[in-house]
Amino acid sequence: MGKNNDPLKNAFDVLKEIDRPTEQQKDKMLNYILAESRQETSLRGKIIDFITVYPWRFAFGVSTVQAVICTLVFGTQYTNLFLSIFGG
Amino acid sequence: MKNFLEALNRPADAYRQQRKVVAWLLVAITIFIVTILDPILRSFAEPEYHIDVFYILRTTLCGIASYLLISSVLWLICKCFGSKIPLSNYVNTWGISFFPNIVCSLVVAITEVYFYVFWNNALVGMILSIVFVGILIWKITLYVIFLREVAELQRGKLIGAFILVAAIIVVLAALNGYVGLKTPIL
Repeated sequence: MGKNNDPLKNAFDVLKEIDRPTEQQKDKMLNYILAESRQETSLRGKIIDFITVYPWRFAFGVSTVQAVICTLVFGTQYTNLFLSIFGG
Repeated sequence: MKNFLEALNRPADAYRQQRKVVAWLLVAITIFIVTILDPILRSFAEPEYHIDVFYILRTTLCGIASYLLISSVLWLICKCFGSKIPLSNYVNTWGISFFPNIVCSLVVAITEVYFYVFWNNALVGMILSIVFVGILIWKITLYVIFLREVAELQRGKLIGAFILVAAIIVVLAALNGYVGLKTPIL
């Protein structure tokens, strides 16, 4: 019985080894956990978070500001410029 | 749906998770809009316009080739800047940045076919300028996040790779336009 247990035990040990993450995977997991738990208190960090989370919000916000300013300054010349490029 | 929303709202997380199904689906939707939906819209608006199936097939293949080419260019340039990430990661994650491409392809298709509706209309023109510039800023943001999260480049190397790939993207965008892809599959 003892001799039969050893190959079985070895087989289960090998399976456990395969399940364990590699060093590279451990590094990635650690970096991910640290990134998730990090709370940004610096202004730079908060700005980066604002841009990278919901990036479309930042993009269209900046775009709206530029469109309003440019249209007020240049009028339909500015808006027609886009149409001449994309509308043929 | 949850994965799509994650790719839309938290692209950094989606890049880390390597949501390849989402990536390829976004690329497929973009190619569909550019190569199939656009001719269909045109055929409704212009009765004399006939859909050329061979042209659709050709542009579809060019779209797929363009995506694989830009993924390879990204991998090669990032590798030169010290990235150790394999090519397969680039191919399976760059597509996550294709939300702006989808919006762009839809808007281009509509404005090209129905441009007379928008011409000299300041309000609609302003909305279009918001959309197009917003798409550009959105894509650039996703591109920088990609270089940071997938290619794992930092600071100076990130800036160097950004500039070099951006120059190549401009050339490839012109090439895309030449083969009939009005929205670049890049």
